[in-house]
Amino acid sequence: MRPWTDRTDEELVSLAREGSGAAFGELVDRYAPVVYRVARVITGVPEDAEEVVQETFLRAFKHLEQFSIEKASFRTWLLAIARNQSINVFSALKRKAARFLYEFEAESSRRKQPDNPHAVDFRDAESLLSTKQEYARLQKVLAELPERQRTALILKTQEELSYEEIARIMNSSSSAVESLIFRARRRVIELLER
Amino acid sequence: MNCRTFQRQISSFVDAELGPAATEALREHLAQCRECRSRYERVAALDAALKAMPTERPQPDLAGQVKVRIARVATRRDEQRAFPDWIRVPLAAMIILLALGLGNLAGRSMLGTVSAEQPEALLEIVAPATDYSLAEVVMNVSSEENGQ
Repeated sequence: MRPWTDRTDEELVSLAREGSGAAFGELVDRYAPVVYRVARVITGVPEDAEEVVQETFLRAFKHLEQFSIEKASFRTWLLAIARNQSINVFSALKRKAARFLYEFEAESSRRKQPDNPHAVDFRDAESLLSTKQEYARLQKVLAELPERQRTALILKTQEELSYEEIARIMNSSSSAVESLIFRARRRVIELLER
Repeated sequence: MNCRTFQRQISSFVDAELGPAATEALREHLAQCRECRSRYERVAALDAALKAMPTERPQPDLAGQVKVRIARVATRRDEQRAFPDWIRVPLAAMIILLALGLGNLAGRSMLGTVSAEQPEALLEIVAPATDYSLAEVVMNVSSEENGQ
């Protein structure tokens, strides 16, 4: 028997539909990391991203009959589920986070006041930033993007999906995805150069 | 085409999603226009940074945890397939009705035994080893109690 790792997604889906738990297990091994990365980008919280991974695969397993290779690849279908799950989590989180961020920003601006002895000159500090900190800054900027722009940009740059695949995942059109990514890049550059 | 149009195309160009003719026109423009070239370089640098950005990994056993949950769901589903709802619900209803029917039947037969028409039958069943009927036994007990 051929090892699971040698089989295509479609073969594994077909076997999983016939009741092979091992075939679906291989799909979990194959796609759990990418589902996690996408969920992490949307929700912004590792624990929530892990919950999204669990829910995504459970949904995929329960609705495996609905998957059609003519419509999309398994990865695209799975990531569409993951995005929807992440948005559900994200919406709830956003409400909770809004209050916290408001308080955090208020505290931050108080610290930047000139009469505050602990105030830091961020322009000088920037030159000391390490690569790690640069990435942290980039991640912070990405977090400021609207969810759709951020997701489209990450699916393109990190997951290397085509505009068409991203459009299927986001239930949109290729031209809309093109526009989302263009605006996302423009905004990120603006924020980084600020 | 003006710089604004070309700058919009830079994003698709970096993503290798621009058509061949548009790609050629953009390449020619970038070779001549410093501002658009600078724009392209910034977009390309951002793209490189995003691709190189370390991505967080899930906890090592996440896939294992997912598989355990899936296995539980699969087991439950197999059980349901063996006894689907359209069998389980009527089967349960039948068992309940049968139990009620048997209970009712048993009750009726008991009632028939103790009915007013044939009281002696029950009394004979209750005390078959003695020559006394239940009524006589009861009466004797009552008189003994009264005597005491």
